[in-house]
Amino acid sequence: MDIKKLKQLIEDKSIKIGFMIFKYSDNDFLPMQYLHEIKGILNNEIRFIDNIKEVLNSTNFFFDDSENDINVLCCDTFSDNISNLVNQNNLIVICKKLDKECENIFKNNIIEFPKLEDWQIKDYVYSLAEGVPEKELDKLISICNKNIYRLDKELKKIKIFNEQERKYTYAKFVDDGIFDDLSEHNIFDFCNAIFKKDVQSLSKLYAELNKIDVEPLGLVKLLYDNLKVIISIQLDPNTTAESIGIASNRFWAIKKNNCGFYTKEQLLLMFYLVTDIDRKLKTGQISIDIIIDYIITHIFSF
Amino acid sequence: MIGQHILINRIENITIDTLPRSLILLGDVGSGRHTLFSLIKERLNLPAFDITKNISKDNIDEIYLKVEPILYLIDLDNISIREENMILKLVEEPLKNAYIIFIAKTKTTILPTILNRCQLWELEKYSEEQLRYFLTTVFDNYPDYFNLVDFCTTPGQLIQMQKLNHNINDIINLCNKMIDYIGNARFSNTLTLTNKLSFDSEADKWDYDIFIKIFQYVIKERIKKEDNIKLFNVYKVINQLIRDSQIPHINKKQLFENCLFTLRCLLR
Repeated sequence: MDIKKLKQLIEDKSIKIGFMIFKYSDNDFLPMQYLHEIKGILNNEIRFIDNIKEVLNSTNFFFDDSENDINVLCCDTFSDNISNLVNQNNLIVICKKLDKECENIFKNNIIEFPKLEDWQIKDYVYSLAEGVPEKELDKLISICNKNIYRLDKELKKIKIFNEQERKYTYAKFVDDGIFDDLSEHNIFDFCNAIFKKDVQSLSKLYAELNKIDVEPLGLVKLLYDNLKVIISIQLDPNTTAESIGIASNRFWAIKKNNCGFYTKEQLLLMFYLVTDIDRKLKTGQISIDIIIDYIITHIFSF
Repeated sequence: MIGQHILINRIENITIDTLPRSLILLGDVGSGRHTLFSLIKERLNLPAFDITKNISKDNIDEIYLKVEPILYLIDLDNISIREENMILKLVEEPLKNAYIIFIAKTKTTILPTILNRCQLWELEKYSEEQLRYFLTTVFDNYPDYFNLVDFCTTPGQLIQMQKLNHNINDIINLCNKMIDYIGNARFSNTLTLTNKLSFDSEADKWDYDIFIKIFQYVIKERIKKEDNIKLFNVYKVINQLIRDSQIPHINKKQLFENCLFTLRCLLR
């Protein structure tokens, strides 16, 4: 069965669930949407299971109401090549990949969900927020980086209002910064930008600092941990991964990506700086709210 | 218990009505604070609990529900500032059925709001004679341990050092090696020195506080024998390290690593 036929069956309200495999390519947003539509039509409960055996080994009790539940298994790779699964009812598997045997055995049960295209994401957003100018919604799509989950979550805030109210409500939300607290960056990006002396990236990240979850002491700890390793690798040519107790792939990644941006003297100054912050904090010489500025200005002045 | 006659005398004359509701026993590690707490418990025949590791809002609320008088011990050097603030309520509004006894090394580690609301009982410092006498009462081969008095200021520290005794020579050798070779050591090797030390009561490692005291002793002995200005600078750095290690809730490992790199630079 292909997705068009499934959609037709859902629209005709003539869908019957036997055993189906919803195979997605990038994320499970669309399969989950279809699942909830099916639930609405059949008026059955959805029961998420961790293992196929939960369905195969289930005992029917007299008062077991779960017979009509739609059993759903969500996994990354489906590899339970049990051939009598094809005879199961009310079982849906949502997965990204199948192993070769399963692809063969269950080829008639697989429904492929394609990757969401940009125009589909736009259509979806416009449909949820009718009344809001499309130009404004395009900005939201950009802020959310076309992440369908985020968009769905943000639009739930607008959906509850009626169409006439949505335009003004959306504008108010934008003014109040409701949609501004979104960032794809994190503390590790911040740390990497410092180590690579990437001033451009760092200034962009710094501008978004309120949106990124950067705890000052967490940043200090991250810098400290990474600095120790970089010093050991860059300043000692004979160091090996085993001698400093890290995995060899991490060792080579650090050697390739993080070494060489600072001289020996600069690295040592950074180490003194980072290991002295705790003492300065605990003796009141600096306060916690200026630690990030303190670190950045000192490191880039070395 | 050796020494502390004033406090022992005070405890022997104490009653349940005269014991302060909140009390701080101030003294160095191993000076007998827990022993004095046990003496108070025996004298008043009260149940006693160490709640240092169980400070939470729920546990504090439970204390309010207790009907019988109970002694509670809290080690202020091993709780966070947040936990100190949680127990502030107990100190501000003393309960009829709870006696809170704090132990701490120095006043500087105690929140002023707690310090001002508690009676302070300071343990006396031990003299060298008292410590040597203690050794004669505890250890059969006590002359072998007389040099431990150079590193220790309290009987408890002597006992701890005695457990390390077979390792003291190893520690002294390591300290001498550090002085002689750290200037030319590789950075990664320098940082591995911290792996030998325990910063948080880890077993099978040398206690950090004892290590830096022995290091200070070794430096002093070397300065007496060698005319080397670098050693004097190292001595200043170690003294500063010992002082900084007393800062409440300080990260001793980072302090020590910072110090190691400084020593490496000084002794290059």
